[in-house]
Amino acid sequence: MEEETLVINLKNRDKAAFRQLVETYQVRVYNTVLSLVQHNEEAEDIAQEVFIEVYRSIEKFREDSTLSTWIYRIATTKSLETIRKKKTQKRFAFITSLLGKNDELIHQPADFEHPGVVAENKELAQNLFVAIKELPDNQRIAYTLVNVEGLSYQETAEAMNITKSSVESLIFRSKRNLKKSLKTYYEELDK
Amino acid sequence: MKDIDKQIAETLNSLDGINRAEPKPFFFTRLEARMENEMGVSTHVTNKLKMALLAPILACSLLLSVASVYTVLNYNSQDSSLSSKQAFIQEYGLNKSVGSIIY
Repeated sequence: MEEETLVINLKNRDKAAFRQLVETYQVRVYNTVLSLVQHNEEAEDIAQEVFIEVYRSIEKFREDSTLSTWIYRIATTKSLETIRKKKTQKRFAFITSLLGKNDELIHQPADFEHPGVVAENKELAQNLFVAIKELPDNQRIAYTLVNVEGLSYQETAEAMNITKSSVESLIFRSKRNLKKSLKTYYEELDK
Repeated sequence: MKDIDKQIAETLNSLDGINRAEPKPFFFTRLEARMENEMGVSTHVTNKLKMALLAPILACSLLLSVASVYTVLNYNSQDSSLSSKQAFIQEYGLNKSVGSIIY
């Protein structure tokens, strides 16, 4: 079914159209959400919420963007909501300080394994995902959409509703921050 | 001691060749169940089939009701004609067979 027809059918609450939508986009949505929240069960929940939101809001879909762009936007928004909620909860939790001697944030333990990573890179990728988690939100999203989801800079710009040059800037800054974070981590390991 | 810059570069390249993660099987089934639960929305395709069957079933029920009403009314009117016949026979003191012929 062509996208235009699919959208019309979705707006008419056609059940077969909704099923087709889910089957077409479920992998993209799940992969994006998983890579951002780095938790399997939460990713499943949020992925479901993305499609529920699509179902609820399809009337609001303006055909000035593609359906996939709109869905990526919902997926990144929902993921960020969860990430921010967890950060807020952590701030209020009574946990052992993770701050090192110089009040710098030390590297958190690597516990997330992305199932799509090539076997020989798994350990290194785990360290990378920890470093990605520490990036500011926009850098995290841009880096994930480009390097994990495989979107082009243009597609990423559309999904994030920013310009292509803004994406380039975010990627540049994210790589710089990742290098800094990884350097700290590997230097600590070597001590 | 491994060259740290080399380690960093390898780490940054560790996502090369990455495949998309897939949700567990039957994702749509679970989504559907959640939507029915939370929103009372059925996304099942056979809902269409149910609606398609409902119309003729309703039509049949209506026809049956109309037929029943007609039958009852018809029976009642026969009933009343029968009792008129009996009354006629009684009034004129006719026997049943003569009364039937005349009436």
